[in-house]
Amino acid sequence: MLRFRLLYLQIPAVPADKPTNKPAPSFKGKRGLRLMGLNITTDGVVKGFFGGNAYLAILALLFICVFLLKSGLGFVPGYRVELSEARVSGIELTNRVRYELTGYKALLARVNQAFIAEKRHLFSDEESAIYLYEEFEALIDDEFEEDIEQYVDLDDGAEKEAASVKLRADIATACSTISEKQLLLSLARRLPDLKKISPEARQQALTLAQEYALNDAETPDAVAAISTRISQEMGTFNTAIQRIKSAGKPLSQLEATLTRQTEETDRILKLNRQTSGSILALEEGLKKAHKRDEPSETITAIEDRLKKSRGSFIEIDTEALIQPVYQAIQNHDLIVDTLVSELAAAFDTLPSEFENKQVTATINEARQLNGELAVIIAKQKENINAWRHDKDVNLSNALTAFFFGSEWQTGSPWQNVYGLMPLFTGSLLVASVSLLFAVPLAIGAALYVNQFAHKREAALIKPGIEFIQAIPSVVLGLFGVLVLAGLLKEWSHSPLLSWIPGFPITERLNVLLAALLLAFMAAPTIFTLAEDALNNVPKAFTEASLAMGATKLQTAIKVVLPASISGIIAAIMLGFGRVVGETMVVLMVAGNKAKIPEFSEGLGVVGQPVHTMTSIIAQEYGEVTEGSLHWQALFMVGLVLFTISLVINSTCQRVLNRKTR
Amino acid sequence: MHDMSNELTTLPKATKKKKSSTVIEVDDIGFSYDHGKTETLKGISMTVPKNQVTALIGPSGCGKSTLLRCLNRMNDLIDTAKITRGAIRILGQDIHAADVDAIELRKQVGMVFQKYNPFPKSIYDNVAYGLRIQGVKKKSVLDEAVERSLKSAALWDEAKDRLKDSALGLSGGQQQRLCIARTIAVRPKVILMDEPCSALDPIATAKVEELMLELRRDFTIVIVTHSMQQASRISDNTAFFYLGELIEYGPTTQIFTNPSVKQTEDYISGRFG
Amino acid sequence: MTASENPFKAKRSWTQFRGKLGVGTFGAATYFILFCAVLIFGQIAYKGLPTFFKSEAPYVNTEFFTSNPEILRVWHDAEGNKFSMPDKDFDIWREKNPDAVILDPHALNYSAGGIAGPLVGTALLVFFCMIIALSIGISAAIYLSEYCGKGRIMSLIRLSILNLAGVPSIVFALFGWGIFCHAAPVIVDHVDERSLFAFSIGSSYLSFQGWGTSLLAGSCTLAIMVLPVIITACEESLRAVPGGFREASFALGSSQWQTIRKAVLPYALPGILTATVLGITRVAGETAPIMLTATSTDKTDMPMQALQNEGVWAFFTQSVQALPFHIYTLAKLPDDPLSKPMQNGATFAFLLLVMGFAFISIVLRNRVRKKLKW
Repeated sequence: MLRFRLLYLQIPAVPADKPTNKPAPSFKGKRGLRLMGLNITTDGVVKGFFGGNAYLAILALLFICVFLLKSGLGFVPGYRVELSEARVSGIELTNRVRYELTGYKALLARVNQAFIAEKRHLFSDEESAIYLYEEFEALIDDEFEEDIEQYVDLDDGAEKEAASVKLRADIATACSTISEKQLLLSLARRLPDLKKISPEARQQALTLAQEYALNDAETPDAVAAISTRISQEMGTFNTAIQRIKSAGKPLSQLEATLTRQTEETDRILKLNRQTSGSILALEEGLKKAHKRDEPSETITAIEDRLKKSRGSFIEIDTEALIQPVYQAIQNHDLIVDTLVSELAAAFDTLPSEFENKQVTATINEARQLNGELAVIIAKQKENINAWRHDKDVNLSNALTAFFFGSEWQTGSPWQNVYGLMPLFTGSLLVASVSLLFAVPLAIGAALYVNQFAHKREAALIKPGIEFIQAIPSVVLGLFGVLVLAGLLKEWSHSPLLSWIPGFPITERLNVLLAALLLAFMAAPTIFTLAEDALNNVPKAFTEASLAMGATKLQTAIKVVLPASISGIIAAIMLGFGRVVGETMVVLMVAGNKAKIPEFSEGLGVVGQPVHTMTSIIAQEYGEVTEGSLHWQALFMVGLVLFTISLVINSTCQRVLNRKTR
Repeated sequence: MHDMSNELTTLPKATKKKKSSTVIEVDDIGFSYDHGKTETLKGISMTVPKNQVTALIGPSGCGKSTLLRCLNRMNDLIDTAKITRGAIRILGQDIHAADVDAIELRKQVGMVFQKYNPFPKSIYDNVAYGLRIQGVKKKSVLDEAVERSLKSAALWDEAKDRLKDSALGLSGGQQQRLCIARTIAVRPKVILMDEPCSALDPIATAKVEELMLELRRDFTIVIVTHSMQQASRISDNTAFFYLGELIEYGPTTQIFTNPSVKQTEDYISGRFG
Repeated sequence: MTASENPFKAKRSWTQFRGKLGVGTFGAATYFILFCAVLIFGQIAYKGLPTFFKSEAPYVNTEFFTSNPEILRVWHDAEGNKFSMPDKDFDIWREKNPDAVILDPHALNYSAGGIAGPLVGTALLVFFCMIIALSIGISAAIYLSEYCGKGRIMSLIRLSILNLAGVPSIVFALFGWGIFCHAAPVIVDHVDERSLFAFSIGSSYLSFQGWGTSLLAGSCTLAIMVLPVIITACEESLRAVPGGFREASFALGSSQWQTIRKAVLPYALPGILTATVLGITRVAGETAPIMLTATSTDKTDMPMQALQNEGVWAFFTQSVQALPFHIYTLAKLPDDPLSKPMQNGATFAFLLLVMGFAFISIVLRNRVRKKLKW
């Protein structure tokens, strides 16, 4: 560097008038490194590097699309195979019978509940007396064994009389030392609802216990008498419940027969499929081995295994296997018809009102379930009679079964069912309820900050609300589980709030809880975007309106809001997208019950637990094996989520772009 | 005033009037945009007579628009703005008095802006807006008011067949006349115009000017303008502002032909500004 | 006219009242949102703070921040008194008091010790994720704002970036889980059964069998997820540099790269820094992606141990603990009062961490926006 400068200094100055013979300036670009006919310059390399990174974004999007599609779409043919196997083996048919049986079982459970509740209601003293007596009995066995023996050995007379009085008194004292709390604890297993032991029950139990001691530790007849009296008093109910129980037996038996039969068929079919798979693989391997001229031992080894596999392959006569199923199902119509008429008759014998309101409610629920069961049975009867094991299952059947299937059941030893509907409705329900809370709040806040708040106030509020956006969802989820769930349930039982649909809530984790937390997450998103949209409304509109003598509120509602409506709708949609895609909160607080919520309850549906598309992935990823049908099903769900988010996003981008133009 | 209508139509040039009552009275007003640190208006006093056009002229930043916006208290919307002294009386009422409602004031002191700003609604809805916010719901009343206002704004013939179309489909001049129609629909006492023609082409400008002379019959108009020619064409009185002070105020003919202050003369003859 | 006939008197009080009511309602909505935030934050802080401190010197519960989660042993003695003790202390105590009566002993998972492991895990995940995301993101942003115009391909790129930003994190998680955990290439001596396909190179194989649940897979997944945020924010800050700077630099004969390096990047740096902090806020708070790709519940040792014992590759392919996932695990614990201190403490620590970054990003952004008005 220094040398150059010195050299330069030594160059004598060129006289001004003398024409210079310096070469004309060249504007040619610097020559870069020539490589394979390309002129590579630093700038080119840098540009290429940066550009490559930019294209990575497109690539990522494409890659995600392709990967999800590849992993997910393999699901459809796979599911088709599974469905057709279920059909050939008769599992599908069995499932239909099971469906009926499930309906019946739900009904039976309700009736049982009502029965127990009624018994407790009518005979709580008697029942607790009996159980208390058993407690006392154990005590007597422990402490008074010798006394009793002595007493029994005594001859009749005054002495025995006196001893009996003393024994009675001793037992009474011993029994009274046991505290009520302790007794409640010991009875808790049998009578969990018991809050207090009535003095009568205690007295009765004591009498029975004394009886027991004086009779040389023989259970007194009075105990049996009480039990008999209870069952007699419960007579009508008892008969009805027995009738309901016996009415379901034939259906259970049918289901059991079908299960046994189809499970066996299924096992054989699966085994055969495996064998034929390995036969194919071995044949392929043998061909390759021949081609590569592998040593003869290898070839013989393969041939041996092939022979073995071929040997274990059974020619199955599916027709023969399915015949018992058809035979069993013949009686189905008769069985269910009897069931329906029996149930109706049994319910007719029950009174419509019980003394205990809860019992009445439970019985009414059971009656309603009975009505539903009749509908189910009528539909299934048709289905079952139309069922044919050899009807083909095609791809669109499999697709329909996935997208419109009303059941998502995995990890069962019987058959996995992948129906999107429960998850889809769950996601949709949670998202819409949460928007119901978030939208008014967020838009209201956006209007306030943009139109009414002072500048300084707005400068405090805006970061505050943006701050909320950063609260991690898992923290909110934890807050929901530990704090809000309990509070919500408690509030829902308060009589002041009983007018709210769905209250009181019975499930701790439910749609409403998830929706409240999600609303809190969505509100900042909607707020920020809506505030931007409001901000984009030209100030001239506001000024014109105010100059006409409109109040600020009138200006905001009649001019600013309509002018920014497309931006606000986009904000709401993006908020919706955020809520649908949220995972942790719903995973932790929505209850994770993969069942289509009961919309028949009207708005009360918000009190139910649901599963969503996002939470199913987070919950089940751990239990799937790579490449299995379940794995592919999860990717299908991911694909649906991805599509939803893309549609929402691109629509909103279009709306927002149009606005800014 | 009615006897002058004939004269006005034939004689667009401003003429001397008989004595007319004062509508606006500005009394030593001082105004600041920054809590009173610097004054943008430094003690302005003037009166605006009824049913005349009063033009405010002066170079940019001289405070003429600020004064205009004080008249219907649009400056209230700026948090840091403050009246530092003096008072403005409109129809004899101090507009900064405690019992004056700025919103009620603005209903009677309408304003037309530099850049035409119809709402993104239909023509009809634009004109009916003012009445609607005052609670008028009856369709016949609204219809009548819309027709009357559009006619007054000389827009009825052009717009009567497309009342339900978006106002943003109109040409610039039409949009500005629509804004005027919107303003007069609520029958204000005073109309403030803030350079209403600066965004318009000459033909549209001519139409708007013609309209202003028409409107003078029914309204008192205060106009801020950059164009001296415009001021001389349409106004009865002219006020010349410079650096927040009122330099000269008088009948337009006098200001333009025989200004008493040197600065006014310089400005009008184009030596500065 | 006299002042008594004030023509501008407020007339219809109903409109005024409605105006006030409306504004009041909107204001109430605004402050309700903020109130909820304060309530939640306050509740978590109130419950969590006691875990941070203890009653004797040095008052700060250092153990909570420096030790790993542990099992809490709980038992009763003969008199019915309840005892609880971390697992490792329990063994020592047991040796010292061999005769002590222990009734009804049970163990509570994760209810003792601290959050050191999860903290370090989160820090590592965020660190590597940001390295990947920033190196790709800044270059992409430079290309988008400096090199290319407004062609159709460019708008396509921008559109994909915007769309990518709206994809739910669980989809990224699923993607990362499928690609990085199960299909990414790795050099191994023995090809695993689950490998998609493998080439032999010399004595070992390049096998597409994935990195498993690992630090690397988690960082990559998070990086892809946060990339759109970084690109958009960096591009915004680059575009905010006035065009005049570039023109001036070009006019002096600089090449494009020189211009970018000398006349654009220095002025965009504060914006890029903001984007980084914003990205960290996003990444640190995410749970679903790391849950699928990086964390496992049976990991108990510190990540550094793998680096010391087994080398760099083992360090990157080990699974880690992470604070958000730890909280999720804690949330699933059975409801026991003895588990609460850990639950609340970890939650508050995590909230503070993320909120801290959020705070910095908001402050930085506001400062940059104010400054960027050239």
